[in-house]
Amino acid sequence: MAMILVDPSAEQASASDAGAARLDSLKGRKVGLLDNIKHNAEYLLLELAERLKRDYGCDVQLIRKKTYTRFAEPHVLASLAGCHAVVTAIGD
Amino acid sequence: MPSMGAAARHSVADADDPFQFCYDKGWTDGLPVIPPTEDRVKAMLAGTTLAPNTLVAKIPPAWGEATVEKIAANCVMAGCLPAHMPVVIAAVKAMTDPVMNLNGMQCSTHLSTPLVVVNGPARLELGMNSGSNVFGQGNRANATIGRAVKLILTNIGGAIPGVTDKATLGHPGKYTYCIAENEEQSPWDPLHVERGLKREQSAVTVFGCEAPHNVNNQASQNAQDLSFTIADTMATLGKNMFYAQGEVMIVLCPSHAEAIAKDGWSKQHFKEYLYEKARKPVRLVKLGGLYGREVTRNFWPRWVNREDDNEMVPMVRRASEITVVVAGGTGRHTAFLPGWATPSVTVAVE
Repeated sequence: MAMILVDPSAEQASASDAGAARLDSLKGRKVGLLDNIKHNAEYLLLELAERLKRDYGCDVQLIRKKTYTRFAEPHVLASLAGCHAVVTAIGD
Repeated sequence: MPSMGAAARHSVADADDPFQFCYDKGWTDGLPVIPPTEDRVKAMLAGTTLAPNTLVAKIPPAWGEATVEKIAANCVMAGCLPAHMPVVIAAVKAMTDPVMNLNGMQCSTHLSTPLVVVNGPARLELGMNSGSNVFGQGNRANATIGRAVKLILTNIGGAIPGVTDKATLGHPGKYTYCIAENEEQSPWDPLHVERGLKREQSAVTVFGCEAPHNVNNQASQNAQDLSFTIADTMATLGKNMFYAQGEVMIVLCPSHAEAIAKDGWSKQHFKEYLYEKARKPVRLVKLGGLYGREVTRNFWPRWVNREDDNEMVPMVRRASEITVVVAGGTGRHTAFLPGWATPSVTVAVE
C-alpha cells in the first residue's frame, strides 16, 4: 500500500509574488530608484539616474531606505507609489 | 488564531524510498528524516491542544502559513516527540515577532540563524540538556526541537539555501540550534524570570546569532579577570555589532558564573561591565571595521563622537542588550554569541 505523506512545506505561492507588468518603453516615464544603502548602491543608482534622464528623458526619483535588511518604510513606499517602474540596488 | 485549510497529501509508491522522496521534494536538511505519514503527524498533534488547522504564524520570506498541522509534519521529520510540540510552537511565535526581522535574517549573506533557549519546567519534563556539551550532540529534545525549527524555517518559510537563503557561509546551527538554561547552577534569576515570567512558567527565547565563540579562562577566580577575558573576546571588528549594534548573548558556564557572583556581582553588574569594556576605538573601526571610514553610516549611539579617533565605541546601545544565560557543565569555558542585529524574543510555552 502506498505511503501517504503530509506536505510540510508552504504550498501556496502568494498572489503578490506575480511580477508587475513590464513597460513598453522608458521614454518620459517616472522611475523610482530605491537605494538600500548597501556599499556602492548609491554610486550605481546615481549613474543609472543620469543615464535614464539623458537617454530616455525619465523623471527620476532617488530615495534611501534606513537599513538594507528591513522593509522599506511606509513613507518610502508611498513616495514610490506613483512611479511607472522602480529599480532597487544592491544585493552585494 | 485563524483557521486554515489542511495540508496537501502525497502518495509514495511502495517501490520508492520515502527518504529519497522527501529529499527530492526539498523538504530535508540533507540528513535522513522520518517520513511525515498521516499516522505519525496525527500522533504528533496529540502533543498540543491546538486544532491542526490553527494558523500560528506566517513565516518569511515565502510567508508560508505555519499551521499546527504543518508544524507537526516538520516535527515528525525532525524526530521530535509529541511533548516537544508546545516548545516548537512557542519558538515559531517568538521568531516571527516583527522585531526579529526574520525576513532579513533568513535571506541575509550573514551566517546568523535563530538559536532557541528553553527555560522553566519544560527543560526537566522533556529531559533537555543544559549541562555538559550543551551546544553539542547527544540529547534528543535539544537536537530535534532545534532541528524542527530549522526545517520549519526552510520548508514553511521558504529559506532555500543558495536561492532565497543567501548566506555566504551559513553555520552548523542551521541544522539544529537549541539549548536549555542551567537554572539549577545559576547564581542569578534565569532568563525568562528576568523578562517578567514566573520561574515555574516554561518559556522559549529565540535569538538570531552566529555560532558560539569560545572564551577560555581556566586560571582566574575573580569577576574582574573573568569579565575582562569575555569582554576582550567580544570586541572584535568583524561582528555586526560595530556597525549595526543590536544584541549579543553570553552563555556563561556555571563555574565562571559562580566566581563572578561570589565577588558580589549581580547579572546586571556583569552586563554593565561588558557594556563598558567590550569596546573598540573609532580609529580601529575606521582601519578595518565593517563600514571602515564610512563611520557616519552606522547605528552607534549619538553620544559617540565620530570625530574623535580615541572615542570608545560600544558593541550595543545599552547594557540591557547583552543577554546572559548560564549553561554548560564542568569546566571553565564560556561562549560569546554575536547577534545578527535584532533583539531576542521570549515567549511563554503554552
